[in-house]
Amino acid sequence: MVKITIKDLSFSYGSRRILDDLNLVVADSEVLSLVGPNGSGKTTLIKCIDRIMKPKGTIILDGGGGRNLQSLSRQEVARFIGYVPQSTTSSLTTTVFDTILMGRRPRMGWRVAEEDIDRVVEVMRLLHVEEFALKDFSELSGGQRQRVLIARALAQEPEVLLLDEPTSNLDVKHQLEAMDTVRSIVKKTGVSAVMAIHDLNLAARYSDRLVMLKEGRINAVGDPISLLTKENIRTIFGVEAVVMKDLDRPYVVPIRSLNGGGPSD
Amino acid sequence: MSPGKPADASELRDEYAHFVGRKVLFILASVAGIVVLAGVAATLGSAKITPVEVYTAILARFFPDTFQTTSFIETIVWQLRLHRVLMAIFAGMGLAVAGAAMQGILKNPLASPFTLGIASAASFGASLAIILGAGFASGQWLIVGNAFIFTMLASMTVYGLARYKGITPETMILAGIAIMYLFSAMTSFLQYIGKSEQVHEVVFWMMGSLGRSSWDKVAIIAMVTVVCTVALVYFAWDINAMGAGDETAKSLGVNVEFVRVLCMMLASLITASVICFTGTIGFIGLVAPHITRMVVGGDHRFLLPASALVGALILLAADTVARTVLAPVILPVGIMTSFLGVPFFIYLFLRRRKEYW
Repeated sequence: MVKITIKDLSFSYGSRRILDDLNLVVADSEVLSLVGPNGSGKTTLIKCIDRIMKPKGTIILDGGGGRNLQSLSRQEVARFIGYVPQSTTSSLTTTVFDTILMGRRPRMGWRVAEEDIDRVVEVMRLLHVEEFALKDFSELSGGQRQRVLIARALAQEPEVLLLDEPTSNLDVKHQLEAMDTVRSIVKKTGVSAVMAIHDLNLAARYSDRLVMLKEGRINAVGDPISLLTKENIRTIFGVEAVVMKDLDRPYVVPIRSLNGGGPSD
Repeated sequence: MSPGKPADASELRDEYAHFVGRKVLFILASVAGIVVLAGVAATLGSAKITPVEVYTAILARFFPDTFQTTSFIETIVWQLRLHRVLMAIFAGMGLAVAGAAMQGILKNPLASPFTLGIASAASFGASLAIILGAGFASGQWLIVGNAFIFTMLASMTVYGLARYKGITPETMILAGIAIMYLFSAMTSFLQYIGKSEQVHEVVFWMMGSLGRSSWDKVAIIAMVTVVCTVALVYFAWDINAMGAGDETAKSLGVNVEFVRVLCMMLASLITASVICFTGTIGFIGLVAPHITRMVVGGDHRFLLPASALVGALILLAADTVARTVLAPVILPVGIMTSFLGVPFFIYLFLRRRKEYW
């Protein structure tokens, strides 16, 4: 089963092309990670899929009779796709409860219905954030914020979760916990997750498939073990690396940068 | 995970219901406060009447069979004091709601009708009328019409400038500040070339006063304020979402640019219709929303109406003090709002430990 089919997707900032003719399929209930160096278009792709940026090309949603996302209103897109931004973004004062309730906006009117409260309580319990329900979002730690933002996206009852660097501001333990959370939600609820991520090892460990991006193009798509090879890492990142295997998952140990910046041995 | 109190579903619901209930209670208490203060305000003045007489005179107009009043008291209440009291209430509401909406859509604690050049445009329009006698209307409407039109012109210009770079909080604030300095400079120029009594009138206008109130003006201000406030409250969820950032708001289905421009225009319209009659009353648009936010939090469904009520309370209290403290001298209310509001604001600001913005 297919959730999203992306066809000939391009995006430019003025004359600078950020994404160039991408074709990609997101399957049901999978964790798909976008990896690639800075400026390769990972985050832009995430934002284009959610129409935060307006790309050229088509994004076809399954389950909507093959509707093109580009022809839907924001509200309709928001019922299908939940977006989890990098948790650094500041926000006005809101409590955790209200933050998650905001995720109901695409599905409720001005008044909050019982059903909306039910859904909020449900996702709060799923993400284990219920103990700070009435704390201010700004008082939370990075890991807690990340969970609240994922909860908000889930309150939208989406088919697809988009995550922008979900581990970027977390310590090692919370990185693992965040990825565990995403993976278990995907497997439990059947949503698909597409995430932009820097850490190749986290991506390898928690993803069903990886997409390697370079200069706005898709270089390779596949499962972690076949994709994370010495050769691929050299072409995509320009880094000499050692790749090891453990429990069918590859480990990447970067050694040095190929354009001379690194230490020579 | 840190050990906290166990929260089951019904407990969470109750906690949230309690949390919302407190905000509703604050709103009801503010309404009661306004009713009481309005009665008290109408008793104060050179002719002494009691609060009971005031309320009776008000009710007698609506239920003449049940309540009796004298024509003396009726004249004092209905012709002399009540319209001024209502003007204070609706002008305070309007300025506070406009400020709260602007702070919300621009995600900036310093946004207010003043920082965005709206008030300085109104001052320029008024100065133009007072000093050069030039403007868009004639007779008694010259100053009012000028102030209104320049205010709307300024907000259109801010919008136009921001459009080029994208409608973000930063572009709108920068454009607003540029417009503010431009109109301030033009006003200074007019003051420089004006005669001293004209300059005096301009300065007095800029201090803000409710002395020019009348039933017609109250009707206009009330209508615009109520209609625009309802519209802004309708967009409360969108403003909340925009508080989490434009990208998040878009991902939640909000048409960010449209909502930002529309709310900005509504806020400008309220501000324009208030300050064209009262002159520039500062402080309320900036601080009433902050005071309210410290009490009810940042949810605009409650923040907008509650700010309106707090604004009404502050302006009514300030005007009442302004016309009684040095009676028979009546101080400009714009001076009083700051004298009364700033200490209260600082008190709340220091007392609250949590970061509230």
